[in-house]
Amino acid sequence: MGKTVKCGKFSGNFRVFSVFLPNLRRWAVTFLREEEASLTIELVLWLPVLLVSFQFLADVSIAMMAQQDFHLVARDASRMVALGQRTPAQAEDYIRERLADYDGAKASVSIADNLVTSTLVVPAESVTSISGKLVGNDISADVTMWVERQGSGS
Amino acid sequence: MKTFLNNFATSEEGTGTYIAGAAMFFGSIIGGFALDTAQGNLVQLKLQIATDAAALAAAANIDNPTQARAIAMQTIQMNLGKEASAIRDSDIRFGHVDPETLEFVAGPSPDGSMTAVSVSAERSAHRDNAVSTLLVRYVGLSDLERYASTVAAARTGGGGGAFASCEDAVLLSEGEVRVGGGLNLNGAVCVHGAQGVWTAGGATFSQDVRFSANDMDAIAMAPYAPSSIPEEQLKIARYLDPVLLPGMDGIEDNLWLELAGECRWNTVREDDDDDDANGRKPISEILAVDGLYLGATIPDFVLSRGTADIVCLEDDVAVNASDLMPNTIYASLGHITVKGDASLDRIALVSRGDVQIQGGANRNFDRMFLHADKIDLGSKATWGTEFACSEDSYRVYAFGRNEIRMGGSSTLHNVVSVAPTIVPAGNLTASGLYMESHNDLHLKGSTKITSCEQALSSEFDLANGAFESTEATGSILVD
Repeated sequence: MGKTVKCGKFSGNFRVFSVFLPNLRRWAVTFLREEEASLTIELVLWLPVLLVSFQFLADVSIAMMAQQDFHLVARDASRMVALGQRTPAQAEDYIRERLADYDGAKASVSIADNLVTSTLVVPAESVTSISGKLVGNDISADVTMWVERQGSGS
Repeated sequence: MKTFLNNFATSEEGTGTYIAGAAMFFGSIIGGFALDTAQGNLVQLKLQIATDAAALAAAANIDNPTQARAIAMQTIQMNLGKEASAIRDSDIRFGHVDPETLEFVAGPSPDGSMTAVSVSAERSAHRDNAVSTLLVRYVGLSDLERYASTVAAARTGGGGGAFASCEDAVLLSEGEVRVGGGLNLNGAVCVHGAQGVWTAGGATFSQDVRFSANDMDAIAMAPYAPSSIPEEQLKIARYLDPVLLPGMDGIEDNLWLELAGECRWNTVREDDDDDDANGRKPISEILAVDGLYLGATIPDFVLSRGTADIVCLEDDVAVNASDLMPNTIYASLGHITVKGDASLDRIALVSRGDVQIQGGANRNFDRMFLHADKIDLGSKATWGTEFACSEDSYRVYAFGRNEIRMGGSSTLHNVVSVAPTIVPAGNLTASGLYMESHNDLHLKGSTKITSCEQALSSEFDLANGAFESTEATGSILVD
């Protein structure tokens, strides 16, 4: 017969534990002493470390490839302004349109000394899966070109 | 020691750690290749962008090589920053592009001109600036070498075939120009679509016609007559800017400033004693003269002895053409609709709303100035001089803030039309035509432009005089 366990204001019949608890304790002791499949357990313990390491490498590679894309966008924007096809404000809209998939992307296009510079900044966390959140840096790209024609942009 | 080694070899404890370590090592090698390749590609792209920008900048300023070199170095510095050592002063070379091999040749061409610039970049062990690897260095590859080079040529205002003026007609769009079948262009006609030009079949062109776009590849011509004129002669890659479009706001501001002093729209004609049974004012009251124009924006041909009457219209108005008086400016805050079969001469219609011309055929609208949001020129009417080549100045100016529409079978002689969107009709007959539009320009079928072999004088500065520049006006990537 099992005991009736009382715990503070709560009381109930926990006879089920009186049946399984000794078995569970015995199973746990056996499990800890058992050497079979220890390799699997070790690998399971190492798995998070491996996954995080590989994910970090993948993230950095992805960030670098994204930065290439950002440079191409900045180059296109600068060239359009350089040719007078768009005003700096329109070029900023163009960049924002191209970077619509990235949260928090910022664009600025300015002309100084007849040189147009397109700069775009994207939070790393919107490009990578985990590393960006850990590192918290921004990925940026800027391209400068000589302004050949001042455009109306209209 | 032997015992230790035997135990180590036979022990199975910690095997998982070894496997994990090995997985991490080989994974790092593979990941390292991906990482360093990505880094190498990024560096390569930066170098390419820097050489592109430098070559384009130098080519655009090639008339002054010293200045061109300085500008190129400035763009390199701004694009590469600390990595600017990848491009040395000697990496910027001036020369020309061999027309046969299309290869860059350093130094002047046989005619003594320098028309191209080559810029190369190098990050190599030789220059002690190779790209350091991050992970693959642990398997013996410590550096990556990256190279980039660009050839850019100067772009001139002329180019293409023999230079032709645009005195007979200019059709200029910042978008594309598409022309329907049966196009017939004669004389010095310039058709420019910044983004491209497409012509349909059944077209006839004379020797001096020019089709131009920012990029030669964007000009596509269907077979035309006479086939003896080579396509290369008709096509030009060049940049042509609209001249009137950018100044539209200024023209409008000036115009309404000039009119506002005479038109006090909130106070005019408060007396409505003469209203008819429906509360409408009689047309004679609506079209009563309110003031005298003393400004400088309306073309002189509308004026008489330097001035013109101003009729201020507050609401939408529909009038018969026969009620409109010459030497008069009709200014409206609403829409103006002109009906009837009468012709008009020396009239300005200025509207904050739309101007629409309705009525039958055989009407002639000469010496007209139109400024409105949207302008509909109606169909089967003749705008400008009744007969081609009978005058040496533009006779109609139409400025649309948004749009100008031309109905079917219209005739346009000595007409300037400027609007973001121009919608020409089919079966258009013209001479002395000048169009500037921002959006695509679609010329419908059977458009015919006649040559008058004379340049027309204009009340406004037009772009057809600015096409003659042969100095470097820009640059283009060659390689």
